[in-house]
Amino acid sequence: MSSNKIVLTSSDGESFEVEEVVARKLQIVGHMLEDDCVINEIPLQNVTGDILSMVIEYCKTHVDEEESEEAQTKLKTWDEEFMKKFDIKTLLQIILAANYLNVKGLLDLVSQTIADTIKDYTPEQIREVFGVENDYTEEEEAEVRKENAWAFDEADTPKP
Amino acid sequence: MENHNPNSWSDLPLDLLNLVFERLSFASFQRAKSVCSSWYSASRQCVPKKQIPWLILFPEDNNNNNNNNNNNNNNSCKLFNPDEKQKLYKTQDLGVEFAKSVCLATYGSWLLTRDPRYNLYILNLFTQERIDLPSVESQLGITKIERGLDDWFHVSKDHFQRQIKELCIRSPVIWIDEKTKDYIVLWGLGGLCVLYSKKGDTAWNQLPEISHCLHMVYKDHKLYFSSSENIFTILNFSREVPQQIFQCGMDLLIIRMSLGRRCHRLSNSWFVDETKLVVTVTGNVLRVQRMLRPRSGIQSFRVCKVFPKYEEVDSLGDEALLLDLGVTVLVNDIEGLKRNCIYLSGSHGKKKNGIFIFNFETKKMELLRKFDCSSVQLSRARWFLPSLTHT
Repeated sequence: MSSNKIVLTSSDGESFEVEEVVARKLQIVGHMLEDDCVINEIPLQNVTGDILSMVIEYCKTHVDEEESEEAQTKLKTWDEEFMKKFDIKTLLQIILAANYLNVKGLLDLVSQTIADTIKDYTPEQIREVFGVENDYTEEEEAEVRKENAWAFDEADTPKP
Repeated sequence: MENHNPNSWSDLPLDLLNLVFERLSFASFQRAKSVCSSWYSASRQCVPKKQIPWLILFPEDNNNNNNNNNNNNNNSCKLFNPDEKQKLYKTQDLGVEFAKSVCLATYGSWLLTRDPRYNLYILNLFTQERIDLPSVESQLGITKIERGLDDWFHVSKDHFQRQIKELCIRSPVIWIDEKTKDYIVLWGLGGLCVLYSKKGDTAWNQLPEISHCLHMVYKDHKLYFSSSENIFTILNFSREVPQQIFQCGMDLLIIRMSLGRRCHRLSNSWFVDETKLVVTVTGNVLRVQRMLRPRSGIQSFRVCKVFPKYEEVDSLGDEALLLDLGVTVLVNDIEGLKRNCIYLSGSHGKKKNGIFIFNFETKKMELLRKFDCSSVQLSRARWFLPSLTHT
């Protein structure tokens, strides 16, 4: 295995020295390396140091993805714990970074985490948790809600 | 290349929002789209990836008990999502008196419905869009249906003639395209003939190739047909005129078919109570027999693969079988759905107070949830796969 080191630099000037195999998990880097294999320092414009360090942590853990069921389960548990570290604001930065750096696995993981967060919330709760402004007028909102009134209108609560 | 990073969830690029939205369950998806206008736009470009079947429960006829549940609207249905076991959703007033009308089949969120006068129509559960189908008397073919003044039907074919009060609509199936609203509806007029009607038709076309309809499944423009004479046929409907593309017999040595449709005797007192076809995710055709021990009411299922070789199957693998729809769904990591199980609707079995699944591994029935029978017609409950229709 190549132990070639590559330096990744974030938008705020923080540098991370990682092994090439780890850096290649960032497909944006992988493509650059294929175009020109002598680079050893790569500036990444759209990601800050604190987010980049998280992405690198993910890539290091996922660098050799074993097929065995045991390894898969272990990774899955790690993924879950890893995602628990982040608040909603950070998740937003992570999904953007995963998309920009093109880390497929992380993008899937973070999308799923966000979807799971939304799952049981009402629109009001989602707005509050995600800090999203309601830009509908009252009429528009009533209209949208009418389309799926059933999704809010719960029938009698059953006895367990 | 965009160089600034959005700081708000409402500014998230649409393709990223889509990644999140397609992972939402059907109900969360509906709720999330009313958060703000950019989320709404995202919702219009994607559909949830995970398809989980829901149960639709039709209201009980309230006329008998003097409307003591005033909130119990007779025209709206309740929906049960196995992933949200503690909830029951309620549809809007669908303008259908479900106590008198019957849902015959579903496709996505569309219900094939028949009213007391045997008018057939397709109704969307969520958008309430309605498509009326040709009247049952409009027939193209040698089988004729006429309605008498007394509302009885006169059915005739060659020398066969009969007066009947209730038309036997056997194994109705429906398919509809969410965008174009192209549709096809098929049903067997008893064992006499099989009829179909597509978008634009003003009458029912008869299929001369097949008769003695026992059960049918329509999937990917193909009709999978089994006859009470143990013949299995596939017809291709992707062209203007349906074409037969496959036919074979379905036989196991131990079954000697008699002419009667119900209760074919197997060994050790099991009776075959019902025989249905199921087309799996991968296109395998299964013949599912529900078997009963008449005294105890214990039921079990025998599943056989129809071709290339007729043989018994001992596992459904990672799939769940939806008998109401004649299909299987991939369970994978879908919460609330169990692999290697047969999902049964309310009409199955003696226990009438709950919804059961048959675990193919343990060969036992499992209770999914109890329902209050006084407010819903459990016997008519059925599984469907909710779909989105963008209006």
